[in-house]
Amino acid sequence: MKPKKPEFGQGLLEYALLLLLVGVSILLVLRLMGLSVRDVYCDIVALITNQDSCSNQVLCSDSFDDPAFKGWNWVYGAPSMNRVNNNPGQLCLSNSNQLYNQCSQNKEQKDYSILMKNSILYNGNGYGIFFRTTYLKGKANGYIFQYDPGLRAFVIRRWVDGKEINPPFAKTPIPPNYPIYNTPHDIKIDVIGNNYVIYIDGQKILDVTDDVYQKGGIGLRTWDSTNFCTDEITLFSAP
Amino acid sequence: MKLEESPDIQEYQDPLLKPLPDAHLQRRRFRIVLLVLLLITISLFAMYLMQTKKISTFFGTGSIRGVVLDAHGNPFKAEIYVLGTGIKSETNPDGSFTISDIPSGERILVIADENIGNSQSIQVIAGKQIDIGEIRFIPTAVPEP
Repeated sequence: MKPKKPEFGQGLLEYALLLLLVGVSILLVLRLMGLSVRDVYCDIVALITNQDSCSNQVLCSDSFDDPAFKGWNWVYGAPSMNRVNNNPGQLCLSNSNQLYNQCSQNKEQKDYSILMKNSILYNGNGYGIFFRTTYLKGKANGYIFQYDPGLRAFVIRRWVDGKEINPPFAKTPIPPNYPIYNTPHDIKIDVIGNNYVIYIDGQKILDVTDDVYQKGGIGLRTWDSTNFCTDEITLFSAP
Repeated sequence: MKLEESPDIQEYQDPLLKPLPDAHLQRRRFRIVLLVLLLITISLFAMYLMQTKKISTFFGTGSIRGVVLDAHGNPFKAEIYVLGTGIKSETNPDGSFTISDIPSGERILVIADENIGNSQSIQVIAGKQIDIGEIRFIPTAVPEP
């Protein structure tokens, strides 16, 4: 039998392990820095091709042209016919309502941006936008951003098993002389990882982190004597 | 070639062929690099776990106990949740409760009736039972100003 020739080079397994460790380390560094692989990929592609190949995609959108509002699951309440501006292509809500956007509920999306255009509070204590919320068996679990003159603040609450949790885990007072009523506002909510950022008319008003809920869709809520209308709500892929 | 032009015998004292590099040494160096990289990856993973608070599950579980009372100081029948863990429980008729097997670390405890919940942070210590005392249930979603 021929004696085995001694091998001095590196084994294929060792090279594979090296590549694997380098790859995992890069991923972990990106995670720790709060960057997503998708963002980095998009930045590199944009740098090479000079084109924005990762612009935000529309995941769900409703401009409320359907008078039956079929894309919404109404838990309680109904579209208001008692609105101040009786415009087509608007969703108006009066008093107490809770409704969930079926498209977003079906997607079970983790990260996204919500844009609600021309949202007008005519009177009452406020309205809320559910995000990362699942509505199952009559119970909501998730977060809600509240435009809440009743609390004289913009707040974010958790909902657990259909229960509204107090106190809100994020709160900022509404500034004095802020046009709360009868003024259209664009509300944007960035939901990325465990970070939630709220903008009103492009101005950042809340920036918080919370780890409780990882995925879920969007919904709307009004309470007390609220009269509220909005023109459009769109869910974009995460920026 | 003349004799005086011929190379000196001293020039042939050094071996003609230099020794080959030590292949075992190269292999050892590669393995050291691999080991260092493995340690870096493990450290980064530990930092990531700490950032996401998932590391607490590796450090065991603890338990809590307490009593839920209403605004008048009477025992209150409440549902109890430990957020992010899937743990749900209920108080006994006397308002007392004990919850075991909670992953250690900072947790959010929710005491709720049918519509409203009150949340508070608690610190769960592995292998210990923490008495969080009396909790007054506030049946409103409107916080104190």
